[in-house]
Amino acid sequence: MIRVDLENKQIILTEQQVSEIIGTEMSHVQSPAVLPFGDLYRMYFCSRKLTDSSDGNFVSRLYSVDFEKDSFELVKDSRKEISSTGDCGTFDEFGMTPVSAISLNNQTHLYYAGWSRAISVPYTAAIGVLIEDLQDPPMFQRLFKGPVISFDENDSFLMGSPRVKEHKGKLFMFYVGGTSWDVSSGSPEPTYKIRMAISDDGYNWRKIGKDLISDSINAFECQAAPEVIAYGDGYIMLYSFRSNLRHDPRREYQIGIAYSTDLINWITLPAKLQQEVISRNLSGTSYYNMIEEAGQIRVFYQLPGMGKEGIGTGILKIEGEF
Amino acid sequence: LIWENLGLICDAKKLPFGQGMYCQSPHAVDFEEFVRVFFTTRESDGRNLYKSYPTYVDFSNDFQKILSYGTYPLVPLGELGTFDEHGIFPFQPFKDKNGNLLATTTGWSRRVSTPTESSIGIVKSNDLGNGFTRIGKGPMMAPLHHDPFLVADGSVFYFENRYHMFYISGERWIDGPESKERVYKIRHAYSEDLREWSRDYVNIISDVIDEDECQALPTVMKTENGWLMAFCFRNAIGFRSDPKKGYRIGWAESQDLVNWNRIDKKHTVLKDHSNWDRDMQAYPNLFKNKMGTFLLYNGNSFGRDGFGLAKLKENL
Repeated sequence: MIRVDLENKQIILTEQQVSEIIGTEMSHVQSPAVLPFGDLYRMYFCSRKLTDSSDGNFVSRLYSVDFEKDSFELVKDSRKEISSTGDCGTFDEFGMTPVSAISLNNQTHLYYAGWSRAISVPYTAAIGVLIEDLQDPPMFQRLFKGPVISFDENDSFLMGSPRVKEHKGKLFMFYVGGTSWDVSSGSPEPTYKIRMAISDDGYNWRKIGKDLISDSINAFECQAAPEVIAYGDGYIMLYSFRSNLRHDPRREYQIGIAYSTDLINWITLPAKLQQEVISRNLSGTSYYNMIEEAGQIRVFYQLPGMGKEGIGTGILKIEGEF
Repeated sequence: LIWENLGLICDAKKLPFGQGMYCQSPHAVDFEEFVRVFFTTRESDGRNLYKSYPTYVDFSNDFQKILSYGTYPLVPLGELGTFDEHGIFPFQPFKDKNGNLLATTTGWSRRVSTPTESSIGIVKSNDLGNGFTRIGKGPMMAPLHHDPFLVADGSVFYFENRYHMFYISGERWIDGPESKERVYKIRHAYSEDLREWSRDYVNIISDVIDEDECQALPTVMKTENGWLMAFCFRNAIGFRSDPKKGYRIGWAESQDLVNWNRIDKKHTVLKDHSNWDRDMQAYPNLFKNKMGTFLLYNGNSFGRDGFGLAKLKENL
């Protein structure tokens, strides 16, 4: 049986630190996306200015900071907001979160969910890309005012959580797509599932048109942050999942695990087994970002309350066969 | 070229369903024995907002007589949170390469920072046009890459092994005196399978008013020596109340479907003496059958009173 444990846990970025760096009071530190960078880790993340709200809705923006690799000391003067939100009426006008990072052709690309506000439901989202401004890193530029992954017959609303992996000369994007809005608890609650698209260039994507991960809880299970790493002869995916129902105690995300040999067909476990194979040390963490380094898996993740308590890191131990 | 006015042929107040408000964006299909004209009509939700629903009316081939009205609504609006939950307008029928009848729908949903957003959906008929079902809950063509918002008005036809679509794409929102106003332009895309569309991302019709000119509802017809497009265009601000700034019919011609020359002065659609199109001519649809070459279109207030017809005097 597969086992997943988390060791050497430490908190590396809190709301208070981000508030000091940005110079205004910030809420939530979300969605770590890390690229090694010489002796440093450059971490992109999402946060919200408390002053940046209307009707109680906040706007998530993208930031980056650098850490010393050995000590996780924050490098001073490493940095600030790295991109503006979208123009009026465009898909990312009301925020950008979560985010993932990949270097393509020696240029960092950030894939993110861009948020719009609607009337009958609170919001919708589609997936965009930013490219690093090579003249002024770590600032980023928009290649397109529109999204790179948009709505179609199967993806009718709310797409997010993009993560891109290079595999056999192609780019695989894992993302989530909304399946229905549920109004049984009063206000509309979305259900969303992990899906995939394939690309040669990172800009033109072809969706494979199916849900990748079967439900561990029930049909109203929400799945997010699909993070994939090579393991044995195949691949392990760690993802975050929860119930979409307001009264359900499983509404807080927990980590799920799935296995594939081809990135397209995945097997996963029922909720009870998920709890047995995932160590309690992972409790309260979500939105994993994994980096393989020196034979170890370094992970970055959100702490409880969707990053209300900050971002942490640790060493992930995966053992056994799926 | 002169288009003779044949008057208002579908009167919104005489519809046997709906609220007698608007017959918008007529699209004619030749059924040989008769002409079926698809259009959309509006219902108020009681809060000064409307929802549009598609339906149709059947005419004799010379458009002199209404034979019957169709199913209403022809397609239900979309589910909660989907692209067409707050209305379908326009409804644009076309035939696929096997002769099956389909239609693009422009679906509308309401937003917070702007009044609306839109995408193009697709529906298919399994009973020769009496009923249509949607292919999936989401749109066929949505904002993507250099089409950042307001993808609408998809006019599709099959020609030389591919589907061509002329559509409109939002360029920017600008501040109007009462609300945000949109600027949109006509563009072209093509597809092999009606699923994946390759978009040129080029505004193909030059502006004659200014850079904020809004262009809508392209309709394209093959002529003896190329292609003819009719569309409508207006100013970005003031178009609702000032007839000089409202929609009028524009024209363009092309040899290759890619490069278009604007030829507004070559065509004149004569206005009707009864004034239904005195202040506005909008949402054109070019149509040809054994009785002649026709232009169906809307008049004042975006088709509040219904739609009318003009007939080309000579051959194209």
